[in-house]
Amino acid sequence: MTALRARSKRAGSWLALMLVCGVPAEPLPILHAQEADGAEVQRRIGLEHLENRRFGPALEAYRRAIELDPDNERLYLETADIHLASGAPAEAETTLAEAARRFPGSIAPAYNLLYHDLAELWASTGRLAKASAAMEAAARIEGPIAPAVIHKRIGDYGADLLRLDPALAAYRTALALDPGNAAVQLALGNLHLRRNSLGEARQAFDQVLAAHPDSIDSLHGISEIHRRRGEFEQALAAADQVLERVPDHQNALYIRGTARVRMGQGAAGRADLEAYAALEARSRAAEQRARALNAFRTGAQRHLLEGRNDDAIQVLESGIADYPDAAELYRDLGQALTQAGRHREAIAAYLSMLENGGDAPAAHRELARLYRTIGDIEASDRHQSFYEAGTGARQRP
Amino acid sequence: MTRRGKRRLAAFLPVVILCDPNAAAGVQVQDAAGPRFTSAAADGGIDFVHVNGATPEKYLPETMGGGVVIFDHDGDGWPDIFFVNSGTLVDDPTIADSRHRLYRNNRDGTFSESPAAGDIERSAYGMGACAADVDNDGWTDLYITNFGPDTLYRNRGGSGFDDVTASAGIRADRWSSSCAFADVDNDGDVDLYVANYLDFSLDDNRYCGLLDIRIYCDPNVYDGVADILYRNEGDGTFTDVSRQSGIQLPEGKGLGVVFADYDLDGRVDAYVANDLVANFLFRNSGAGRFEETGLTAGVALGGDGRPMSGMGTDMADMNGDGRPDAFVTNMDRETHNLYANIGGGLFLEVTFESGVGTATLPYVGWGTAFMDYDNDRDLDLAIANGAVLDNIEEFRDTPYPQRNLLLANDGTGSFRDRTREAGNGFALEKVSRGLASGDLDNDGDIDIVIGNNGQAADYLRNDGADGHHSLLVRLIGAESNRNGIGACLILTVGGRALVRQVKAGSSYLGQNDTRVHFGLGTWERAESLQIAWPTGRVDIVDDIDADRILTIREGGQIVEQRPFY
Repeated sequence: MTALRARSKRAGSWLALMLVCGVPAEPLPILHAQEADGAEVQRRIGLEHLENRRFGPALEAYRRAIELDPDNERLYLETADIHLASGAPAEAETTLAEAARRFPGSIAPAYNLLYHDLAELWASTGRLAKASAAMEAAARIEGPIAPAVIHKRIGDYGADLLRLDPALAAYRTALALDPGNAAVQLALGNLHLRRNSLGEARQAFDQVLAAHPDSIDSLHGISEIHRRRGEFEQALAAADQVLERVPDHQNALYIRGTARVRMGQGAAGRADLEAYAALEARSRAAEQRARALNAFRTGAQRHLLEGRNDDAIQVLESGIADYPDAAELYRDLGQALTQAGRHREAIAAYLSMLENGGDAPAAHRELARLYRTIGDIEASDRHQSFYEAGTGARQRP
Repeated sequence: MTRRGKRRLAAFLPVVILCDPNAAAGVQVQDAAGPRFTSAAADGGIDFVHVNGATPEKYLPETMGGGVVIFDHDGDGWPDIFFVNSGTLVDDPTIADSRHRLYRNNRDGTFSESPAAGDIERSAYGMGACAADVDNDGWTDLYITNFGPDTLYRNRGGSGFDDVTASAGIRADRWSSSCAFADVDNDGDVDLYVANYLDFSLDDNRYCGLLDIRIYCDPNVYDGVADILYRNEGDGTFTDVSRQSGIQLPEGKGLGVVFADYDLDGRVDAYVANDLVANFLFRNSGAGRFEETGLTAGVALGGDGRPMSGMGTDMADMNGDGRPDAFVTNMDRETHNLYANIGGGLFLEVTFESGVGTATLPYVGWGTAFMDYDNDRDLDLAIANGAVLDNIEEFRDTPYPQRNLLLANDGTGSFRDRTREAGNGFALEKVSRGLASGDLDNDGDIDIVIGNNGQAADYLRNDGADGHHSLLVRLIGAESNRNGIGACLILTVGGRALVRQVKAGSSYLGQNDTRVHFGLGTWERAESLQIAWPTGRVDIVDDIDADRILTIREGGQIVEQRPFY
C-alpha cells in the first residue's frame, strides 16, 4: 500500500538566489514600513522578512515592490523564490509564468535554477508530472544547474511515473552530456531492469563497475539479471560479491539463498534464506514501529491544531500503551499536557521521556519550566543546570 | 465412451508430468482479433452498488471491499452471482441499501434478485465470500467474511439459506478477507481456510498522512493476524485447527488465498497472499499438518527479495507443464508477480520474462483469475485494478479508478496486454476489487464479474471466443466432496494435455465458477479426460465432443451432457 511522501519545506535556496541574482550577502539593515518609498526599499523589507522566514510579510513587501516597479524582472524571480522557500510550488509556478509572459525571450540564468527548484519541490509533493514539466523548462535555459543533472532528474521522474521510454531518452541525453556519470549509468541500468532489457542493463552496470568496482547497486543489479535468466551460478557469484562488501545485504542474501536451493545446495541456501528472514523481520519490525509512531504523533498533532487537547492526549497515551519505550511519544505527551495545563502529568511524561533515552537537554529544559510553574524552584534549578550542562549553555559567552 | 479405474493419484501423475507442454503448442492456436468483452451489467439486470460507507476518519476497511462469488445456488445448472456489500462502520451497519445481493441467473443473459436473497443478511461490515457444499447434500452453501464476525449460510435446498454460524462452531470475528474451501484431509468433506488481515479496530484507528491530508493507513501501521483453518467434522460442525495444523502464523496479513496441489502429491496445499509481508505457501504434509515453505519455494517475495503488497492470488498451470503456477497481484510500481512451478517444490519468479512485469507496473491489482478467455487452450490472466487511497489524486499523479487488465497467454507462459482490444468491458475505469470468472451464459466462453469499491458492479460478457471450441465440466463427488473441489482434470486435446484443478475460492474476496472450463482451440473433439478425485480415484472419459457441458459423477458416470446455449 502507498505511503504518502512528506512534503519537504524548501529553505536552502536563498543563498543560491543571492548568487544568481546578485543580491548582496551582507546582513540587511532593519527597515520600517514608513521608510518605504520605493521598490528597492520594499524589496529590502521583503528580504529582511525572508531572512526570518516570515514568508507572508515578505511576499506582501514584494507585491508592493512589483506595483512600484512592474518592469523589474528580478522582483518576479525573487518572488517565485520566496514561494519556493515557503513550500508553495503552485504560486511559484504562477509567478514564473507571469515573469515569462512579461519578459518574453528572457534568458536570465535564474530561471534555470528556479525551475529546477520548482521541479524538485513538485517532486517532493508527489507531483511528478508537474516536476517533469518544470525540469524541462529548466533545461531550456542555461544556468547554474548542469544540463546533465537536469536530464538525469527528468529521467528519474519519468521512471517514477512509469513513462519508461521518455525516461530512457532523458538518461541517454544526460549520458551524452556527461559520459562518465556513474549515477546516470546506474539509473539507466535499473531502468533497463524494469523494462526487462537485461543485456542493456548489464552493459550499464558494467560501465559503472569499470569506474567504481565496489558499486553495490551494480553488483546487485548483475545478480538480479542472472537470477531472471535462471543463471543461478552467476547470480550466486554476483550476490557473493555484494555480500563480501555488505554482509547483511538483504536482497543479495535472498538471491544467493534462492540460487543455492535451485543449484541443489539446499542446506546452504536455507541458511541464507533464514538469515534473510531474520533481517527482514527486524527491518519490518523497525518500519512498523516507525510508521505506527508517526501515525500516533501526527494524529495527536492534528488534534492539538484543532484545539482538542484531550483527544491528543488520549491518542498519545494509546500509543504509549503499544510502545511504552517510545521517548518521542512521551515528549509529545508532555507538550500536550503542558498545553492543557496539566503540569504535574506533563512532568511525569518528560521524566518518562528521559528514562527512555529521549533528547535529554530538551526534556530538562521543559522540566525546568514546568517545575518553576508549579513552584518547585529547587527541582527547576536542578533541571536547568542539567539542561545547560547538556547544551553547553553555561560555557557560552 | 468411459473407462473407469481406481488408482492412486501418485500413479497417475506421470501422465501429467511427461506430457510435452509444447508438443502441439501454437499449432491450433489462432491469435485473431480476439473475443470482446461487453459491459453488460445494466442489460443483464445487475444493479448492485457496493456501499463502502467512507468517512473522513479513513477507516481502512472502507477501501478494501467488496467481493463477488459465482456459484449455482439453486442447482439449475446456471451460475448465479453473489455480491458482498460492506455498509458503514459508524452508522447503522444494516441499512437497507447496503445489503448483499444474490442474483439468480434467468438463463437468457439476464439476472434478477433471487428469492433466497432475503435470508442472507449483512450482519457486519462485509468483505468477501466463498461457496461450497459443506454438508454434501447437493446444495452449495455460502461463507461470508467480514470486518467482524463471519457468517456461514447453509443452503436450504435452493429455496433459501439458514445462518448456521453458531451451530457450526464458526467463531471468526477478526478482520477476515478471502476464504477458500478444499478437503485438506481427504476425508470427503471440504474444510475452510479464512485469511485474516490486520489487528485493526475502530477504537484504534490511527491517523496517517500529512497534517492537511488524511489517508488510509499503510498496513505496516498495524500488526497482522493469524489465519484460521477450520476442519469440517462431517456432522455440520467445524473445528478450528489453525494451531495444530501449523498455519497459525501471527505475522500474516492475508488478503488472498487459494488451494492447489502444487507438488502434485494428491494433497491440496494453500497459498496466501500477504500484504507487505512474505506470502505463505503451506505445503500439506498429510495428517492435518502444513509446513510453511514459501521462502524456500520462491513464492514468498518479489524476485529481488522484497515483500510485496499481496492482494489477490490464483494458481493454475499457465505454461502447460502440468504444474500449478502462482500469480499474485500487488501495488503499482511493484509489478504483480508470476511464479513458474519448476517441480521439486520450487518456483521461478518469471514476472518480467513473462511480460507480466511491465504490463502491471502502473496498476494496483486486486482480484485475478487464470482463465482461457479466447478458448485457445492456454490460461490467460484477468486482473481487477484500482488505487487504495480515495484521495490519491490530491498528492500523486496516480488515478484512483483504474482500468482492468487482460493479459493473453501465447501458450508458453508469455503474456501480452490485450486490454485495449478486449472491448468496452475492459475500457471501464473503476475502483475494482473483487473479480470472479465463469461461463455465466453457458455459451462456452468465460465471462467476468467485478465488484467495485463504492461503485456499481460490472458484468463483462464474453461475446465469442474466435470460434474456438470449448468444454465445461461439472463434477459431482461421491466418496470425495460433493463439488469435487481439489480434483485434478487432464484433458488431452490435439495431443496436448491441459491440466486444471477444481478450486472454491481464489482471486480477492471471491470465487470463480467451480465448473472446469477447457478451451479447445479449433479442435472439435478431445481425446480423453482424466479426473483424479481427492480420494485418489481416477476416472477416464474418452472421445469427448466439443462445445458441451459435461456433468460427471465420481466413478466415471456421465450424468448429463448438453450442448452450449
